[in-house]
Amino acid sequence: MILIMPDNIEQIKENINLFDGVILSIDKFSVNARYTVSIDDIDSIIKLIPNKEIFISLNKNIENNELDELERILLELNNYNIKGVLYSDVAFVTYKDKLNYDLVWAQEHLVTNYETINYWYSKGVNYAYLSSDLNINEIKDIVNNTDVKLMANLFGYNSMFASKRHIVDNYLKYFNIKDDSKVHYMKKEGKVYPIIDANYTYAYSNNIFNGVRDYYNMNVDYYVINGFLIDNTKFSKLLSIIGNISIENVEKSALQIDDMFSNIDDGFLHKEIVSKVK
Amino acid sequence: MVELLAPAGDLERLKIALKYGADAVYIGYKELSLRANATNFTYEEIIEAVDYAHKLGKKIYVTVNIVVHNNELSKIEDNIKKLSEIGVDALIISDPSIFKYAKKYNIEIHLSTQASTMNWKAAEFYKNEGVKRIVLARECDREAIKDIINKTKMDIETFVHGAMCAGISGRCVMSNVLTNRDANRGGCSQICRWDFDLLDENKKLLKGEKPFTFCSKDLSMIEYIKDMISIGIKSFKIEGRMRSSYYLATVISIYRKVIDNCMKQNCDNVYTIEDKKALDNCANRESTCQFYNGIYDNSCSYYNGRIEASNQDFLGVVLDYDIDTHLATIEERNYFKKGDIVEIFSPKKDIITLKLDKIYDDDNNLIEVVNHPLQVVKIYIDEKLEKDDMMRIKRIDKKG
Repeated sequence: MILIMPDNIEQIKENINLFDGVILSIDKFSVNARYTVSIDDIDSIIKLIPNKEIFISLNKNIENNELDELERILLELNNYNIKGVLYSDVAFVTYKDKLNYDLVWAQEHLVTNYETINYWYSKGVNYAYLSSDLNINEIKDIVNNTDVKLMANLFGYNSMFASKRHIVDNYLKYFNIKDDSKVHYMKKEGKVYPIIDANYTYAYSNNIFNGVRDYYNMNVDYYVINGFLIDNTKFSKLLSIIGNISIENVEKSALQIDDMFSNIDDGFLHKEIVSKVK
Repeated sequence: MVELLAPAGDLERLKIALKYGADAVYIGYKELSLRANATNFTYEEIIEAVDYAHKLGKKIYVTVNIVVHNNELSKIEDNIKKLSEIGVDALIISDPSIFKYAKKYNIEIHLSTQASTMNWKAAEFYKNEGVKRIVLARECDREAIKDIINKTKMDIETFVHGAMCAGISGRCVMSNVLTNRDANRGGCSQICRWDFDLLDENKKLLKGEKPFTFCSKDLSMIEYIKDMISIGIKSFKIEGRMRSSYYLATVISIYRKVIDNCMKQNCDNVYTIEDKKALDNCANRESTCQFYNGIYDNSCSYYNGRIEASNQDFLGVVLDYDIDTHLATIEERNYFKKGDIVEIFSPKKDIITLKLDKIYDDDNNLIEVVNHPLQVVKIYIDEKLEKDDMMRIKRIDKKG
């Protein structure tokens, strides 16, 4: 299944036949996304893409004073035909019995082994969104040792930092710099890393992750294509290539995608596990 | 009863931590710990640490807070079993799949701050899973902490002093991406302290007087300890398993005094300006209360262009004192000389201030300067000193 995480509504509208489902981010309760919608918007988006699997990302760490509103939203989502909710905060599991949809354990960078995935499965969590810093062997090992439905990134900028602090905004205010950019970049030694300061501050890898070469090696249930900072025309072309992927053309497909972007790599898929340093 | 919990990177520092007033010490186990750069403990060293602490009526907690990958799963149970056999008082765990082993071998579970617990529902979940204590997310403010304590009645531990991650614990892989070192398995290369150019959406430079950085000021809660006790926090944690003996002695002794003062009735002056200065000086970094007061704006950020002078306040450690000659044997840590005004602090006595009038070398010759690493000298001092008392330069306030 191909899930998209859109950067704007056009990435949904223009590609309806090129994906199987959508991960939607919600105002206030989602992080790691520029494009968010209100709960009231969900109904119209579902109508726009009938027969698609809808996942809602509520992946913010929840604070005490947000719990009541969170519960209200979770119960309201019972009224929509959604497949599941991506969560980061453990509090979500305590609401599980009141929900008619699944939960997706999506704690970035912590979904790294099958034992913990199975632990959450025993608590009623049927989906897990794998950490972006796993290598292909680790992914395969997880796939072989769990019954949980797995999601993994296939394409897009991978997040590498999350903070409750407003890192960019703080800097701009401190040095009295006027700027209204919706996205910023930080540059070091010629490499340029996107950074957004919205609900939380998120920083991203300098290169776009292209995992298409390992599409069949990963063998997960859901492949996530992230539209963040991807030009809409290229996004459509990308989805078209992925939609036609086969065992025979997987390398060619990966190459086509490589050629569309100047900054692309395969993330941690083929890196040795970076373990303890002396 | 509240607990002062200190870090230790090796047995020597563990003994210093306990001597200077920690009620408990948390340590890393080589097989299972984050902070791989710290000198984590071997199994044999943990046996000695537990024995040493328990004889003093104090506790040892072992951190098992790596973000576990598949290839590490097999060794976890055996190692936890081994730790249970030597009487470790608790494990600090971040991954809930490890709970079952702690429960199986009957070791108390403390949930690591890596789990980023920020609300009472999450805390309640963990309580039902057998967690005895939670080290809350550093992002929690006072009201959040109070609410969690009141609603769950759990033991809550919070950090009171030390360095801060700029990001949410466990949710940062900048070190992995930029330097190929896994921050969640002890390899953090502190990218958040690097300088960057900040560009706008058109990739045009946004230039401030200092470079863009994620860097946070340190945490210092000395002003809030009384309040923290009043809302029911059970354990006050000092950050830094890689810190020096001097740092630990300074920070622990001051927080020990502050906590003890807070526990006395009608004590309003729980710390002095000198205490605060000593804390500021030993890390040479600015500090704030970070998220505790709910304000985490740029007053918490640290824009200094990475200029951090190394700390040379620590002059030496006392090895011995001769009660007949009134000569204290000192092992040098930083340059000092005749005429310096110094302070000597110790776990249980008031700070002694003195001018170094007489310094003797090994052969009892009077010398003017002490400038060799680990040089052993003697100084004359009327007051009796103890082994492991520490000598630092007295900083003179320029404002007078």
